[in-house]
Amino acid sequence: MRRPYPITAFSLTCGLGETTARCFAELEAGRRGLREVPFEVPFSTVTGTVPVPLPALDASLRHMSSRTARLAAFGFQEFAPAITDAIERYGADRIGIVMGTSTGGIDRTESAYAQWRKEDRFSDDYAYATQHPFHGFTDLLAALSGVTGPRWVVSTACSSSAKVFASARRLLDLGLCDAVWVGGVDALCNTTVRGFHSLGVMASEPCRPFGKDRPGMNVGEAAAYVLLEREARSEPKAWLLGVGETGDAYHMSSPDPEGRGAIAAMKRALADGGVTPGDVDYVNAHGTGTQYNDASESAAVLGLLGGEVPVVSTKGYTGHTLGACGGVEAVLAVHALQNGFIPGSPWSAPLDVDVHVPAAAQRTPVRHVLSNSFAFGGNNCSVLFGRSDAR
Amino acid sequence: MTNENTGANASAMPRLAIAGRGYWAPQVPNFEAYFAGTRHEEAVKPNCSIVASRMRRATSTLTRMSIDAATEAAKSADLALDQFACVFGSAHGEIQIAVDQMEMMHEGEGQISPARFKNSVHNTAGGLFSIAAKNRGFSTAIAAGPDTFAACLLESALLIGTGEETHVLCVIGDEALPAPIDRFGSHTSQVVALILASAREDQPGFTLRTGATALPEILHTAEPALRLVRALDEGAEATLPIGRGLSATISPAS
Repeated sequence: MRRPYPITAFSLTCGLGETTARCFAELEAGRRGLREVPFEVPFSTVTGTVPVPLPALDASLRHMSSRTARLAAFGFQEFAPAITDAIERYGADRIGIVMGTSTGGIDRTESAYAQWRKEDRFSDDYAYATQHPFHGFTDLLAALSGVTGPRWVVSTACSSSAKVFASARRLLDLGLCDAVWVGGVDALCNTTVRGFHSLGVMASEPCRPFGKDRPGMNVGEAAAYVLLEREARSEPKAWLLGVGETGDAYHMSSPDPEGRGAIAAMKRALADGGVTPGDVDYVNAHGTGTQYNDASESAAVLGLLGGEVPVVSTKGYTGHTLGACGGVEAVLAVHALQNGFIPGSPWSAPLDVDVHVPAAAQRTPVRHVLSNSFAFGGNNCSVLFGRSDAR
Repeated sequence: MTNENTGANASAMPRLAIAGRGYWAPQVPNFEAYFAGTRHEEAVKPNCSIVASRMRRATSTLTRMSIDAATEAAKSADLALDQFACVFGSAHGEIQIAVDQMEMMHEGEGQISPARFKNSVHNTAGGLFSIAAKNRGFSTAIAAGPDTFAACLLESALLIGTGEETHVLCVIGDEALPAPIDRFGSHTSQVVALILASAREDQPGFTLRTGATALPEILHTAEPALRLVRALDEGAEATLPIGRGLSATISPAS
């Protein structure tokens, strides 16, 4: 077993809503956050687009601006009090920032490149060194918050912001930080929307994870933040109990059909938490809605956990937020634990899999949630969260 | 309120040694050549021979040279390719493929190549290496700008310090920026790969410490890794800045 760490704060901005409360309200109402793509693409699809315009950064921070940076800053508005409080208690240099992303500020370079192609020059306000890089938005978050501890970005595609929980746990285990601000930020951009379309896995309609004849995935965007601390001052929101990180060593963009790497990741997360397969009350599946992912993941879940445990892909609500999905689904897992709420997946019927994908939302006690994130390169991460009374 | 961070619980940080090393640059395709100061007259391409040719297609110089350096490091540590955790770091990532894709968006119907897209992620080198090496263990890909090596080294040390891993491959580097964005940076293609493990008492080692540190300008992502190797080879007591807020205390063999 590994030492559990308390989750003391969280926030979410995604296609479901611009605030955490709105995201939860939409989820509980069974409404999806899938809508029009916020830029022109040469095919039809829908995306999990944040439903409000993202404000510009303050003039002093424009040299760091990208859609990802603006999304990161927008999401931070709600999370800021938790960080201010943590700085008060621990000091700015005792707080780490470890974030997941798959795109960084690439959307800014896309627009700068388009201008260069048209006018043979880059605009004066394009700053590659601070707008483009993966880690740019973490520098922005540090500037906005005053946090000065270790910070980096994990970018293992769609498992990025699940793996940050393991990085944070290590920083806490060895006493290098007293709190670690984790999560993920990825904004919609041409590279990912056109890229997944090029692979033939993009749905032109809202996705139907685990459904028969499912049409594929929808890309989404999000800023999801979670604060982990060494000790909680009061009852935590939930516990980080376990993380399993493995590789398929199978294929760059397709999962091992037998799900061996996924099973190994889930087993490690459960072993960390001292939890048996029968103790898992809900699986927040990776569930991209593609043929290969859903078949492989359901085989892995069925093999390890059986066919009774509810398995839901919240990507049916948010779209696939890529490097942010582990963070998004961590927040949704905490919501399930705090409120005894498992979302429904009515669009998935009829099912194509043997795991239990409930069509209707359920109100039921939820003590342990296993949240899966699987990525290009066969990079797997499974995270186990426990209810506040689970430790 | 801020605390003076002196690296609380620093005793828990492991004393590490470099058990294997690899290097690749277009005219300097291994660590032996790097230290000997010998350069090929003409640039050579990384052959990336451990990866099947069908998977090597549409990969970048960054991915190929990272895999070659990783393979050299494992060989020099006398480790099979599936016997260690993998930490890959790059500040700019798959920038050549990213720019290629941006050009494709403006050609024909604006579709991008699926072969390029699947190799465009930051963990492409780590993913392809794991497939070629049949390594089903831990693998991550990190970015932190000029502090990318510091972050990779810290994550590697944490993996060993928590007892999760005994050996960690840490690969750090970047490829040169492609046109037209090469006007924003002039670094060359270069990668360093290190196999890290707990240091024995009879070998030089280093311990990472967090806290304020004076930093020289980092001109290449791989540069602090080369400085660390040199300092360990010299084996004298020293404190070496690695990145923002991270230094390595070098200690000689006892």
